[in-house]
Amino acid sequence: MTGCAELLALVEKLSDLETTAAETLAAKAHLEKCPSCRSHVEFLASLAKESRSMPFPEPPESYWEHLPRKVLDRIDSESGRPSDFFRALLAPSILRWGALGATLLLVTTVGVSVLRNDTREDTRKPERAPVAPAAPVVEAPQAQVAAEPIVSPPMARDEAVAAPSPVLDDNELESLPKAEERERLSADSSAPAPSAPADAVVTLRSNEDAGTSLRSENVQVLESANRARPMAAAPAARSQVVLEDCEALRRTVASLGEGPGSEDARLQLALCSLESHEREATEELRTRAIEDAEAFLARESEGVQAEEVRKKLRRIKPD
Amino acid sequence: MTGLASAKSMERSAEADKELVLRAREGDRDAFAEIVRSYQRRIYAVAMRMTRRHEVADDITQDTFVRAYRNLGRFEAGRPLRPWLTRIAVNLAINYLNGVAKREQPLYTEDAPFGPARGGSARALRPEPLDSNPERALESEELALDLDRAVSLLSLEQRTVFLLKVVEEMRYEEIAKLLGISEGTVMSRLSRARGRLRVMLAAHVGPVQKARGSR
Repeated sequence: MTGCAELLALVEKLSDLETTAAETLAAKAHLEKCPSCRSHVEFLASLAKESRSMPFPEPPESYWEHLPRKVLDRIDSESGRPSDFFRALLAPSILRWGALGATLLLVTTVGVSVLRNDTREDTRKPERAPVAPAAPVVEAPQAQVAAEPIVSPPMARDEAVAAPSPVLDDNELESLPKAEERERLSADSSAPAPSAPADAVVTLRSNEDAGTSLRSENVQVLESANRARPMAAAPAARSQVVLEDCEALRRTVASLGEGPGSEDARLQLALCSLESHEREATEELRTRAIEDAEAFLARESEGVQAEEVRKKLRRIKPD
Repeated sequence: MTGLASAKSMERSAEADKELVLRAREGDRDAFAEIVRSYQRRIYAVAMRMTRRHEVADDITQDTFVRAYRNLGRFEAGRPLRPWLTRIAVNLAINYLNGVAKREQPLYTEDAPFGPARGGSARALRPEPLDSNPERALESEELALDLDRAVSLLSLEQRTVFLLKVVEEMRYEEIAKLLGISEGTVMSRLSRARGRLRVMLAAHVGPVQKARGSR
């Protein structure tokens, strides 16, 4: 045992595979003549082996299956990304569809009204000359009313595109309104905006380009994101947004189980999946769309919505 | 297959990790989910061995990946992910153990005896193959329990270094960098941890090894 105390560190280093070539030679030379240190090395080896296989209660397999999704949900909830979307999702179906219809109606009405005014201005210019310039000014407040609910809500969708976009820099990301601010903006508006389609935003942005007063903080952000994003990427980006919406819906369906609101969530998921496949006809998306549509139809086989889903399902899966 | 073996089998090459990291940075959620899937068992095992509570290990595992996601932009793609993720998890576990855990009741105390005194016959802590004999299996279980308890009774500093070196098989240099200490301190903490374990596990240690452990 004499001299072993000094060599202990070296022997342990050897068992940790951390020795240099010279140290290895020295340690091995010592081990050859010292049974006590050999035994110590044996102990260290067995301790390491037992420690590595030291069991602990393993969570069930379902824990590992769900963990990635839990992590992504936490990332989403901390960034506030899907909050608007989920609020819209959990709203009663009739209100949502009603709001969507009302929004589209308003947009159409405003558009038609503007067109008519233009026509009238052209045809009655001599008589209406003093009044004509006022026409856009009169329309603007109406457009503003319609715009508020439409412009604010799609933030959730557009931000979903903007956030991961490689062409957005940190400043642009920083400029995106925080979740609370978006909620305030949505709450200020009269219609339950989050369900407004992203396409409606495009229409309003066109109006804005024409000089109407539809500008808002959100629109500026959208513009900033769109300027930074190549135009050619837009359809792909939109498909990606739809896909992400579908994933969010899928998570909601999973979390609701068979509880209240689950039928509605399944309908949304089925429609989203079908749309996703329409945008990008891959085999994987087709399979998902069929599964989601059939899952909805298995629970609700009658009614207008079921018929709509069935009709779309038949297009990708003929009987 | 043990949890660790299964965790290792899930891990990917640095090249495959690089691609996933780059995709995740671009906002590809599937890519990040794949990273989580690849390392979740390993990170959970680290957290579980250090904190010994599922709910805490679960929190730490999730926090590790959430933090990793937030800092993906700063991570140098192409470098191995495992040490980076492990470092985050270990830091979170140390924070937990330094804070909440100190106010909690320890899972084990040194009052209860180790090994045969508890009524069983102790298996020697030697590198010998296990067999399917039920009595041997019981002994093996006994050793595992005692080892688990002995490791938990180490000081936080010793336990951390021991787990990182012996279980995670990290190099002295990596551990030193991770914990912000010198390599010499890593080695001395490790040596003291092993010395304490040998004393606590004396019931499982052969006569020659016992003599060595009484130093």
